[in-house]
Amino acid sequence: MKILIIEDEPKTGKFLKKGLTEAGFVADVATDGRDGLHLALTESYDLVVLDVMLPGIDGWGVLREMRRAGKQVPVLFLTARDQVDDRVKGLELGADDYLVKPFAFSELLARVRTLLRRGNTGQVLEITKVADLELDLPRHRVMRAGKRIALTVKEFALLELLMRRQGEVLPRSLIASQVWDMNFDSDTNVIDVAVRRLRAKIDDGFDVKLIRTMRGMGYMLETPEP
Amino acid sequence: MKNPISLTARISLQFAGTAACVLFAAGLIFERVGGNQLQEHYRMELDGKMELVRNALESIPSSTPIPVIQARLREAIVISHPGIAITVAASDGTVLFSAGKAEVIKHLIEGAEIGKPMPVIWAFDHRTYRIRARHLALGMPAGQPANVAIALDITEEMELMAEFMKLLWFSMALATLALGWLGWVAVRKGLAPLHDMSEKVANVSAQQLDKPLSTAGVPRELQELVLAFNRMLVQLHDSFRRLSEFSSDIAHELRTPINNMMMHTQVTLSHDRDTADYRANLQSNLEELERMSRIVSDMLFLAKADNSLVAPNREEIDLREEVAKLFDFYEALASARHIHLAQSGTATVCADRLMIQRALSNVLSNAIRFTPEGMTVEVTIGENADQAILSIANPGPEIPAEHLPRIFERFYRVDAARREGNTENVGLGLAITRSIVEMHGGTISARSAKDQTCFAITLPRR
Repeated sequence: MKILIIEDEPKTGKFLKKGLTEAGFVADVATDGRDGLHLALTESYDLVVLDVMLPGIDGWGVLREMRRAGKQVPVLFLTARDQVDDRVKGLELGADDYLVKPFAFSELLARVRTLLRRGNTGQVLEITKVADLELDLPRHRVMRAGKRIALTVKEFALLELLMRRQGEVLPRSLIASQVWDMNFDSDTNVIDVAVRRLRAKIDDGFDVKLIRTMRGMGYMLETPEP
Repeated sequence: MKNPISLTARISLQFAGTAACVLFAAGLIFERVGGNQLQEHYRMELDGKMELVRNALESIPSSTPIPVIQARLREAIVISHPGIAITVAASDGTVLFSAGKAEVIKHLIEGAEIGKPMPVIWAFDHRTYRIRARHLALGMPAGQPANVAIALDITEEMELMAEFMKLLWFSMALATLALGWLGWVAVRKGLAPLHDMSEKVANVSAQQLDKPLSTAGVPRELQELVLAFNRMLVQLHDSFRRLSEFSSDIAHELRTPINNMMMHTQVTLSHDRDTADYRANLQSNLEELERMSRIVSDMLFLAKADNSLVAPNREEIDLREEVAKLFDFYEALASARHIHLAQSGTATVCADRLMIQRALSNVLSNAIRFTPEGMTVEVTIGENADQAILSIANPGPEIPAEHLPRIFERFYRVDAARREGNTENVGLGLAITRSIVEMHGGTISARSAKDQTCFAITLPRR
């Protein structure tokens, strides 16, 4: 998967590239609007991460030109100004998602993965088993090591999210948004409590712990390395 | 814009102008009346003379020789009046009598003045005469008319009058100037309290915003101004205090995480460590950074809301549904402490869903935080004609009355000691809630009594 990063702040660009590369993507960085637009139009990318404030042509200009040239590649734009106007403008111009600076890298990674997955939804539903944990979506049932575990609706939704995106670090804000439709930064530890409760049902009493806490970043469900 | 003329100059000029007008009018009246009086005096004198002449002419028997008449006339009129000229001529032009200067007599004999509108003034050889001329019947020969003309030399009086008027106008001009100056002095004196006040106001500095101007010795007209100014000072002082508290609060709030990060990082770097230690350091830093990031974005939101830069994206929302969703969200947190969440009632409002979620979430999490284990947080929704009313009540320690009005302020915490080390709650939640509610045209208030705290939010339904 190839990602183009258009970002004029050299440090931000460098770390975005490093983080995305380490997450398994191929990333290019352009440091101004003109170069970025040129790359976006000539190369083939699966996703563009676009800063709004850019020298040369600004982010809006790059986005407009890309869409005019018929490039339908998903665009995630970054803005320092979390004004409704900015968001609305970006989405109207055809951006697919946005992040307000400062953002957590895990949040960016989660959004990038969501956008990339949007094109090919087929595989998502198939993952219903991680290690000995099974998720029976149609019947809303969860089994671990053949034993049925009773979950509340929200616990089930939380587990489903973690399993669907196994191996990914899910930031708390993403979990709040996906499971509870709470789209703001809450300064409470609700997510931690909810995960703790889910973990008590899923992992307690088993040697293999599936839900991992990524300190400072969020939660991840994966089969641990043996 | 043109620089407006000073108040002192304006009032002085107006005063001087008015005085000049009044004096000018008085002068005009004086001149007119004085002149008329003078002319009236001449008229009466001339009429008197004319009467004397008529008597003399009528009473003279026809046999009386002319020299006798002349003598009588001279006696009656001329002797007592050196400046007078008189002619009496018969209708055939024969001069029966004449006295006075030759040129004047010549003019009178020409008889041009008879029938002219009064008063007849004749100037000749730098002298001014007032003339009265008429036909009179002569006693001799009986009934024969004679032309009688009398000229009165009024040069001295007229000159005196002109001189006097000149003096009058001059003194009036002086008086006008003097009045202007006096007016200016009076106005300056009268406006002195204004100067005093501007001096006092000029001395108000940011450090003395809490010291109101004294109203003692201030004239009644300025009292209201001083009071208004003092009210403004109070508001300014309040904003200023809040602003400086705000700056120091934010510095303080950011200093704690920065300090934590620096200490931890310095300690970590002071020795060689294994990867796990470095990782722990980075993770700890990340937590502090997240905290700082949240403070900054919350502050930014509040700053923007303060300056009306945030526009709510209004849509129809069902408050009952939103509360139910929030209950779902907080269910894990509440049940971990065996706290029951109960809601009743319903209402719809036109508001920004995200913001309302955030506002209610802050109050609700606050309520849950202070509710003792096993108790119930109750949310009641109601509505009237134009408002939705939402109350969130929780049992728990009372908020002392002196703190109640301030709990919606930024970084305000009832328990000052909790400022330190509490990483979860930075004390901006209720400020944000109030900001959101007010942005929607609603109100928020809190009351606390008998181990029960209740937040009431009203939102216009629109």
